[in-house]
Amino acid sequence: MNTSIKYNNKNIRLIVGLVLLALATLPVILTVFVKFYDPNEVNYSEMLQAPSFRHLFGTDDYGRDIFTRVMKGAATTFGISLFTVTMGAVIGTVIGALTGYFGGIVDEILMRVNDCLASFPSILLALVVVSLIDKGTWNICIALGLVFIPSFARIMRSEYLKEKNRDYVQNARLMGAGHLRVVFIHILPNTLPILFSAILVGINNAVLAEAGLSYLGLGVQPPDPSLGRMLSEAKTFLLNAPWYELFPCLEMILFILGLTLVSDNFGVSGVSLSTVKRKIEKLKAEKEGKSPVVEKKEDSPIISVHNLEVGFIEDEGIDDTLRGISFDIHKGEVLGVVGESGSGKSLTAMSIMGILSDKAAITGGSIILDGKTDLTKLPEEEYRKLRGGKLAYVFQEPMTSLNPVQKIGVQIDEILDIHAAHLSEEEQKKLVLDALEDTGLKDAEKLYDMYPFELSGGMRQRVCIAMALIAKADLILADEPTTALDAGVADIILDIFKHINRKYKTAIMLISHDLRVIGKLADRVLIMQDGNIVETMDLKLSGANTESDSSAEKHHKKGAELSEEECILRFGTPKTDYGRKLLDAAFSKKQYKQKVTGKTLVKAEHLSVSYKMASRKQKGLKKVIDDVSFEIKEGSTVGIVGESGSGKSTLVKAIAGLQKYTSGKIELGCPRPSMVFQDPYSSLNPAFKVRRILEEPLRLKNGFGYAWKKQNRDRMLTEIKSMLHKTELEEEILTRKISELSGGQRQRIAIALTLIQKKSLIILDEPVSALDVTIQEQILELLMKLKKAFGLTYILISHDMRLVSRVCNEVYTIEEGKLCKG
Amino acid sequence: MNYYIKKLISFLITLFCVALLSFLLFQIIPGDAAMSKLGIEATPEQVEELRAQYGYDRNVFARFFSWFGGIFTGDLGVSIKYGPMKVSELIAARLPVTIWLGVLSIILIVVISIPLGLICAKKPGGVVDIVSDWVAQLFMAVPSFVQGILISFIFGIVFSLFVPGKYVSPLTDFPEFLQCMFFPALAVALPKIAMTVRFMKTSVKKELKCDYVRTAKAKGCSVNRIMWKHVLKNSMLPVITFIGLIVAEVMAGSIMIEKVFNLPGMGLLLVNSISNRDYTVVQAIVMYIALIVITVNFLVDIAYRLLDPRQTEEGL
Repeated sequence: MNTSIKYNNKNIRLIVGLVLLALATLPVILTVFVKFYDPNEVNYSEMLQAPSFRHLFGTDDYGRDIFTRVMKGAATTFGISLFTVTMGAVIGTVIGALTGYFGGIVDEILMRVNDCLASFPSILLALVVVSLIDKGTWNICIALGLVFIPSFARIMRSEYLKEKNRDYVQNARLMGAGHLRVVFIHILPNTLPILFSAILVGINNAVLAEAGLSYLGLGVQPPDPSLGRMLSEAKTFLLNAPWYELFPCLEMILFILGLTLVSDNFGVSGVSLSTVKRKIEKLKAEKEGKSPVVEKKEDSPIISVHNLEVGFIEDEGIDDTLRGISFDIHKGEVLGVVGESGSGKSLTAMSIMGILSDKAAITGGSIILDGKTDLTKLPEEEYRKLRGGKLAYVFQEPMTSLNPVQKIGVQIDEILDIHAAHLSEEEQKKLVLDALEDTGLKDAEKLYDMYPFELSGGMRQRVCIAMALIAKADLILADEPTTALDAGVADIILDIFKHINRKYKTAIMLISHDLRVIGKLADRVLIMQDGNIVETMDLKLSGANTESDSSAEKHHKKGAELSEEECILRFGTPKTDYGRKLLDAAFSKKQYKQKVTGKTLVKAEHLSVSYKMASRKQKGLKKVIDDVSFEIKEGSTVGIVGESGSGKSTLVKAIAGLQKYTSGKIELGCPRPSMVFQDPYSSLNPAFKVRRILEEPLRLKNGFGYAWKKQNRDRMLTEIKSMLHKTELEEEILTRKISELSGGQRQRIAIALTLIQKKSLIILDEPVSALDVTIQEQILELLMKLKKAFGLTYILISHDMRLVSRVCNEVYTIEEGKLCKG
Repeated sequence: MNYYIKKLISFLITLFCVALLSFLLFQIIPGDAAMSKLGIEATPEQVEELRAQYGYDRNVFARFFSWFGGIFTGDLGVSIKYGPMKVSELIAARLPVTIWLGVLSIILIVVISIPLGLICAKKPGGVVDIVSDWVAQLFMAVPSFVQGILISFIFGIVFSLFVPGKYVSPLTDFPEFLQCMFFPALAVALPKIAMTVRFMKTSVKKELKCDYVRTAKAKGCSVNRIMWKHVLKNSMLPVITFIGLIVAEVMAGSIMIEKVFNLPGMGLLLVNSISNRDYTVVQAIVMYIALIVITVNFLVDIAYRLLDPRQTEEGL
């Protein structure tokens, strides 16, 4: 945390909102207890008097005290809105939750009715209902309440539709929680933030709706006041008694404005990013001067980063993320940057490109381009001209990096519009087509007029590379360019980079968490950890362990054709501990296979699962699992490998009992298995604290009401603590939520959760693929240790053949629903 | 199946359901219109006669289908209050006022809120953003009829810029139409402009966080270019749907505003008919307002489809 830059983090709007709300509601509450005047007492001797000490807000046309009437009226109006919104929220939530969770025909019908109701403006519905059931305070309550039900039901339904597919719901079902428990105990807390803001908006609307109904004469009946009634009664006295209209209006504005400010700013940071950024820039300028011009040195690198510091603007202060890194990128070289997530790799590249997010700021150091310009001080307009021209960037996510509503050709052409506007339309188009063909895309002419959604991920990434090529950039910053792609496609993309690097002598900064990618392409590699560069390594030439000076030869063999062994050899021996650890973990060959002697635990025979096809094109049944038979021995680790869509998750669900199968049978020699999911962030309930998450299986086992007694809670705590110990976690995390933990900690909790259930069969669904490499090894080790200690049986689902072959006794491959051994 | 045919079918189904709902709502009134017209002193014979005249002696289904047919032929029965006057005649005279008021309001909403939303989102924390945000908050905190009363009072009575309650068709005299309808339309539009600006701002801000904006920035696009060439079209898509939803709000707003300005539209007729318990008229107006809303939303869906290239042939 950087303490030299201080700023205000209080959300002023929230405070103003709370003050306004207090101003609007406190006098109302006061007048409930203290009576100054009778709000309905007529006094013809004091008609339409201006505000004075005797009558704070003046009097109306019957000589009644307006202050008392405003307060009484506000109590009525706020009361009506609270009642109607509560009614709408409670009934709407129940309807929305049940229809969203269960779906089916009832859901269909209710949604149709809802669609129709949405076609009637809400005030119209309320009008009709009031006109049908007659006027009066209680009748408006019911009319408005009825009107609010559909909107709450709609909001909650969509929340439940979203939540019900999350892993934590599956996990709760696996633990044995019933549907109603899942709906109201597991999912409901996760929808509360949305419900809360919907309620605030609802109160706001209800206040306005009451006013409207009263204006039309269908609301609260005279002589009783409500804010709406007073506003409409006062309209004839605008000229001679403006205070009559003013004060009820003011009361309403205070209340609604306060409410909106509170609901908009609740839990929102009050830090003004632009103010903080100006402050940082000023401090940096004071320290280092303002001019971007640097004295030119001969033969300087393209980019020379010196002591670069980048921080994120958080509520509490600036969080230092890059802590003074220095390195050069030379002409024509491929510089690899490797490190785990959060080490600052992408941040480094984005700093060079000048496209840091709003929350990040350069707090110190310099980035020198061509030895003459300091990019950190360059005015935005000149910096802009470098982007896409001299410097190009290829992003990780090809699926979202292109504008979805613009044609491919137009998007590439735009770079020429900006950087080479002197070229004619035809010349530009020709260059675009050339660039597309340079990346190995065929039919460039046709691609030109296509939209991104019509292209595969690999094709889109080539389009992104074409964008980097078209202006003949000196440096391409490639940020995890292959991570989102399948293995085969990734190799092709790497080869394209190699081709560009050789053909145009373009320097490439290749960022990846995957040492294999780096090993295939880079000449030099930076290893980053926690915002520092811990080690810089020159990669050796493949096939030879000797250093060579000829750069032409250096490029001779690299790229996709390199085998894993050749990649490892290129790295040599790291000098630092962290470098060694990273390399060991990435290329680990450690075997975890254990001998199996047990009896058969799971036996599946001729298992098939079919889905009904909903689409019109393919009617009938689709077989997802097709006549599958296998056996799993107690104490073994069985791997199931397959690509996404191959049916492996359906097979797992069938074994776990979450999926009904159409034919065949499964025999389990043990209770239903528990499961460790790929992403512990979604498989553990985000609304609960760790302690509550781990208590859930114990609560379920002991029945409803078990946790109400203190002795039972203590007993659960002891059991949880012993489990934390076994999974090598600290006790202090019990009071934290999942979002406050690291990936490794989350996965350990997920494992502890399965152990608490005392199941002997555990399904591991990609248990380590979301984790950093060094953490992966630790989790694997833990899993294997626990397996030995508790005599567990594992079913391991993965797409990673390497992992499976290291861990499993038996491996099955699943392809289009068919299972084969080996 | 073709997307447009599918949408048309779903439109017709909603139309039918809305009609059914409008019809059924009025079946829960205790007694019936004949009773309420004649009062409690009427003899059973008189009631029977009137019931036969209104067709209340037939069963519910028969009545619904004859009424449903009436939507298309224009025969929705006779007004209870205004004797032999037909409901359709009453509505036909007032429908143009409401429709023109709505059209003018929506034009105002679109013309003001979309550029304003873009400008605000481009420079969050800037002067325009902060001022418009507070003004919008204020307009959303005051009931629309109070805004109407103030506008009518200030511009109609104090400055005498227009005559409240006067209506001229735009087809006969367009400048005159603008003069008498601009302020009522403004009163309808103001609270919705506030809502739309806020929505537009959120939509643009969400788009600005998308990866393709980062790509555009990396290509060297200026902030203006990013806004107009990339973000505008993407952020317009949700806004179009939002404006479709706003139509229902505009119709609701015009019920209030017609009463405030005493404009001879459907809203005023509705409010008066409710106080007169003229249920045949209320029922028809409710139906027509819903009809306008679903028709506009149907058109919005089509427009969305035409603007967004992503929706393929089979898509919904």
